[in-house]
Amino acid sequence: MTAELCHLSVRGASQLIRDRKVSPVEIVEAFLDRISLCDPAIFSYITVVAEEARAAARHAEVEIMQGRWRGPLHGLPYGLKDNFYTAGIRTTAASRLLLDFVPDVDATAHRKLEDAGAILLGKLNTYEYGTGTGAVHFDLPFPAARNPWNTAHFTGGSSTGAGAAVAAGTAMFALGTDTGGSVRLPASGCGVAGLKPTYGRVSRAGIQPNCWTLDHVGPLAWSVDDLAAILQAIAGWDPKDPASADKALPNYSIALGQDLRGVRIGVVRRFHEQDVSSAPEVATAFDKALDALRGTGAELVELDLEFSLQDFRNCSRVINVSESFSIHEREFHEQHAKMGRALREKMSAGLFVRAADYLRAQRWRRELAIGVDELFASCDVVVCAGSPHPAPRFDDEEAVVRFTTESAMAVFNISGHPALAVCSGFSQSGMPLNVQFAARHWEEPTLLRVGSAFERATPWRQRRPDCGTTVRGRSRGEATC
Amino acid sequence: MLRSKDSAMEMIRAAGLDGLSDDDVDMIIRQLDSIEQTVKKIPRWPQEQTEPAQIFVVPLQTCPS
Repeated sequence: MTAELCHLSVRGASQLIRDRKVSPVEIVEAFLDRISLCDPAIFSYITVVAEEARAAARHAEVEIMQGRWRGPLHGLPYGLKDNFYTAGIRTTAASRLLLDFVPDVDATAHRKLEDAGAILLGKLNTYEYGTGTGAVHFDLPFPAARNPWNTAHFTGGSSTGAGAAVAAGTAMFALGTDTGGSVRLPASGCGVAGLKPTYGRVSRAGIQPNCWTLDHVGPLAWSVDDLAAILQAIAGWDPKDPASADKALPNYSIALGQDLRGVRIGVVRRFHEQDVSSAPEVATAFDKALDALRGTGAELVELDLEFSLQDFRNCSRVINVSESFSIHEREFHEQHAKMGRALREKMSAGLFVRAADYLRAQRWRRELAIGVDELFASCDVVVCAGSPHPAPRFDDEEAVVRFTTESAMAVFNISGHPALAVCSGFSQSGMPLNVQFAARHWEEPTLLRVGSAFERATPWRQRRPDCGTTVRGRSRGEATC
Repeated sequence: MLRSKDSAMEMIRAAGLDGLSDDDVDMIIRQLDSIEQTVKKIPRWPQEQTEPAQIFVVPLQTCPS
């Protein structure tokens, strides 16, 4: 019964709760059991708040029994990447610099979920301050999260625990942050759905920053339909985030369930066919994904982009290291020995970027963003590669770096367009493959419609990891779940 | 590594970093060389361009209202 409750969709669980067939208390207990069973092998959580979750579940049960149903997330359990501030609950950002840090305020996105009646299970694993490629991940204070499809494999990051938790069913959904793909990469690596909304759509207030002009907040869930419900709860203007946009919220679920007749999808192949050497399985899955989209009625048109992945990566790197250094300069000077290697490397690069270089990168960014935006003159949604590789084994460090640095995720952090990663099949070794969709600014309803139709047209949501493999960790002994 | 250790050490001292191990210094030099290579790949703005620069650091169409 535990696994059944933990594999419910947001919509399905919500209906059962509303019909009073299942209590939030039962659901939360099922997830806490699942965490006890699985997390010794996948390390999705840094902190679990079991008693607080139980109390919140009892409260939700009373409210619902009294007819005070707050909406589709009421009584549903979630996890937060450990860079979201949670009042009274430690927020480490996976850093030795913050091991005992307990904020006294909530991140806006967390507050919105609590107002919607969702129940926090705990704080999820990540890289230190969301920094790195995952290759140097074993010098942090917590064991690295592991991929539930095969625990010898990398999850993708930096929202590592969020991807692992949703795939393993140790959280019904999760929130992560995405500066260069950090929601969509773990979604891709772990075979779940991950959304980076339009820049300005979801508040970043109360979140440890990584790079102000590239940071986004986004949800991870088992399905695109679930993402729509979560986005509805967390989106909206927030005066505490200067980049937050005061735009009306659409109904993100309104187009779910529709086929794709009348939708024009632009196919961008250059990222995985020209710019990097992708895994053959990914290329094959990409072509099969196009067939599935055609089968839903979409019109496909081949498009090209004048800029390469390397252009986006170079621009992103200069901006990212500069802003991160501005954020962490004092800690780097005073406490660099406490930082993990990935963060120290990033700080070291940021130390020497000149103001003129940063501004040059920001000006170039605008050119790159215009190039991406022009794609949407010919289509409603773009389909392209996400990461051109399945998540590799941890002990293949070069492959771990390639999984991150050869991905096409940062393209849409540079441009600010909403982008969605979904599962597009499985490799021969059983690891998830992925494809990425993007849409015009603020057109999340169309993006979610396409992702949802793709999931319905393909069988990949029927397969779950058994989470039963043996861990042979470098930082832990053996464990099973 | 492209840079001599002496010249890099001067820059590191000028940045006020103390108490670094040899490994840290090597790492910083590698990163310094690497970021310089990255910066070189970013186009310089044409001198003849007179259009006021758009350097407001939010992406297209997402300025808060």
